[in-house]
Amino acid sequence: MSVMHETYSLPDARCAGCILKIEKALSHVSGIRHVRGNATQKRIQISWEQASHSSEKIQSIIGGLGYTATPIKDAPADDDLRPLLYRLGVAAFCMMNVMALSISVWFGGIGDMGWGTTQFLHSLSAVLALPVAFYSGSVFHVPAWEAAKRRQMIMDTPISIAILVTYLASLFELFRGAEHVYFDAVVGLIFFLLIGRVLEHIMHQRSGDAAANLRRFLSVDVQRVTADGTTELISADQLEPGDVICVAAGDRLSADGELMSKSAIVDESVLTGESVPKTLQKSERICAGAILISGPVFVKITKVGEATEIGQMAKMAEDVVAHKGRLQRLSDQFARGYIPLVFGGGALGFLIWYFVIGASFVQATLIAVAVLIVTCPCASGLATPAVTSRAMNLSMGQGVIIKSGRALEYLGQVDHVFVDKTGTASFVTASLDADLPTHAHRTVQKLARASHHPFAQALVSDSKICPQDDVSEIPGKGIESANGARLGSAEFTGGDLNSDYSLWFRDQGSKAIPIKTVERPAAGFEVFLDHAQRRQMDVSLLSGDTEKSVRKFAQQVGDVEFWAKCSPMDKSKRIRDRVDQGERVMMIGDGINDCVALATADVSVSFAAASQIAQNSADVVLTNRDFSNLTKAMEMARRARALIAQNLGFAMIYNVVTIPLALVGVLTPALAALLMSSSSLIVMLNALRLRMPK
Amino acid sequence: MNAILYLLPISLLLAVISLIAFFWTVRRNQYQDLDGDCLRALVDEDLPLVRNTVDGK
Repeated sequence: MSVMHETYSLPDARCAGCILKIEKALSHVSGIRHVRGNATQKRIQISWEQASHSSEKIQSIIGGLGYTATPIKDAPADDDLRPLLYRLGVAAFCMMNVMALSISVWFGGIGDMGWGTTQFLHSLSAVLALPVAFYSGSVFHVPAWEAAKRRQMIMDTPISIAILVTYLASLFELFRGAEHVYFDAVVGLIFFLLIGRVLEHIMHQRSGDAAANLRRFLSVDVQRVTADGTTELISADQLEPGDVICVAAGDRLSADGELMSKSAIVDESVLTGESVPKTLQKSERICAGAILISGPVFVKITKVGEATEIGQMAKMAEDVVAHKGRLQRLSDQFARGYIPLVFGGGALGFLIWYFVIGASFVQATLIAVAVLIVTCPCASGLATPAVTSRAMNLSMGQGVIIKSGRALEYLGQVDHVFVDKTGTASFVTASLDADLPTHAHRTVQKLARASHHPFAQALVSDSKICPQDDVSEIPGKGIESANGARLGSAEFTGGDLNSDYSLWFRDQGSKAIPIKTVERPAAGFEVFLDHAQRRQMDVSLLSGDTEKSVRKFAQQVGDVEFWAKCSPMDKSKRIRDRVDQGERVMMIGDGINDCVALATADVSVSFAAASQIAQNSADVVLTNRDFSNLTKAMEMARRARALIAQNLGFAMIYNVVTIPLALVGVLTPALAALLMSSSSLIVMLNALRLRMPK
Repeated sequence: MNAILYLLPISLLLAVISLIAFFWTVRRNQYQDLDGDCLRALVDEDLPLVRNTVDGK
């Protein structure tokens, strides 16, 4: 009897109690061998007998409890933390004991501790410090050595050298029978730094977990054509070679395939780097990752494999943490030239003390080491990533996916917001006239299914109908089938230009018929406008719709500035004008006709339900169409910027104050270690102050 | 004063036992899900702790 294993993410689970509830319920189901939930990662691991259940059945059982379960392939290995924890454990244990011995010696120095006892305690310290310096210290020694092989110096290099020099110098002093040794500095330094590393690692892991859990929101569903000609929505993972799928304009192909429709225009820049779209003819090959510019088209799958989505997700999480804002970039450039300066400073200290002031060799070395330790730019290196990573986690928890650190930076600085009206600022419902002949009804449905436009999507009542292929969609105007049927604006279909109706349908050889559409403000939109006003951000509506309907909507939401009858290029131009004036511009949109505008803006926002091309161009993706989440994210971005500035300021002050102290000889290596590691910890803890506003 | 010569190493040895205990907890993945484990204490039923063999953890 074979046993199946699967890990599911449970993004709906609000607390640990939910996860345990699911775990308990599942453990009672026969055929399920083993269930273990993880409340921190919001995941659950299930093993079951293959004969009794299928993955879908398990998912529906969980669905019955009220939670969505999404299988996670490629669950990232998270036992990277354990080696760090072992090293931290050793460092902690030895540090505490060495400190105890150190304090004894220190007090003994004041009293009358004999030389023999002091030496004994020092020897014990030496033995305890050995595993710390080499086993725990390997966290720094190994990367520093790897870099040294490449003839480079990294931030770990001064630390590694400081550890080794201090330990060896102390050993030397011990054998010489001298009064002072510095094993406490070595273990203290390593201990505090490792705490920082562990915290960093956990944060990194959390953002990776959050990213993987939200995978389902970034559209890995495809429309597969079934044997009876209807379409069904399935996950891209379930595709098999031979399946025929329907790919809409703006969507990305999740597997390799052969084009079944007459022709298609694709953007393969993800693969080839070429941004010039390619035209493909029937039976030519389309690669996974390519984006359809024209559509919809039918594609027969030839090969399924590693979905590129996973690579994107992982990369996304890394990119955010790796990004450095403008200030940080300057600081990094400084740090690069800094490390040689650090060694220079240490050498200078040594030279002055040994030759000029006449201190002993060991004393001068130790002052040099103190300079090395205290000048380490760890705090300034951590200043931005600590905050950015926390910000990303927080926003993911609210369903806002921020794709890059730069997006986060700009999100907190917005001066002007442009919002697409239809389907973004407004929620659209449309209804077809009941006494339309059946065949015309069907034509409308098929045309509507073929378009991503919110008006069209609102019209679709039967999502199983196969979309019309061989259509041409003109963004901003409408969609036309091969035999001349048109669905779109009044202009496009020949309808009455002065009427109130925005959407019209004209069958081949007939007159244009208006379609009733109702638009309401999207969820949270008024909250968003309110917030924009308080923060003195200007908001404008952009729309390809008629002046009348845009005015009506603009006044409905509160007398907002608007631009009607905009083509995609018009939208982009309005944005570019503002950008050229030096303002920070945000664009919120969801359709193919917003893509150029989205790319032009400084920070662009789209929705998870939008076409993939829009999601691709957007810097921020909202998992549901609720503007209040975006508002919170923008407020949080402001706070994040303040915290980053605080961190960088603090790091600078710290360096300016402590370097002279070290050069003057006031700092012992132990004190230097304490100061340096606490500066990194302060920066990290300061980042944790970031909270999502209510 | 000679007492300290052997007392200190003995106490260190005892303390090493606690370090080994820490290693044991790390090895058994007790730090993976701190939030969930807190709540598990409040749950009455005892589900058997079967180590997940899939990811080798």
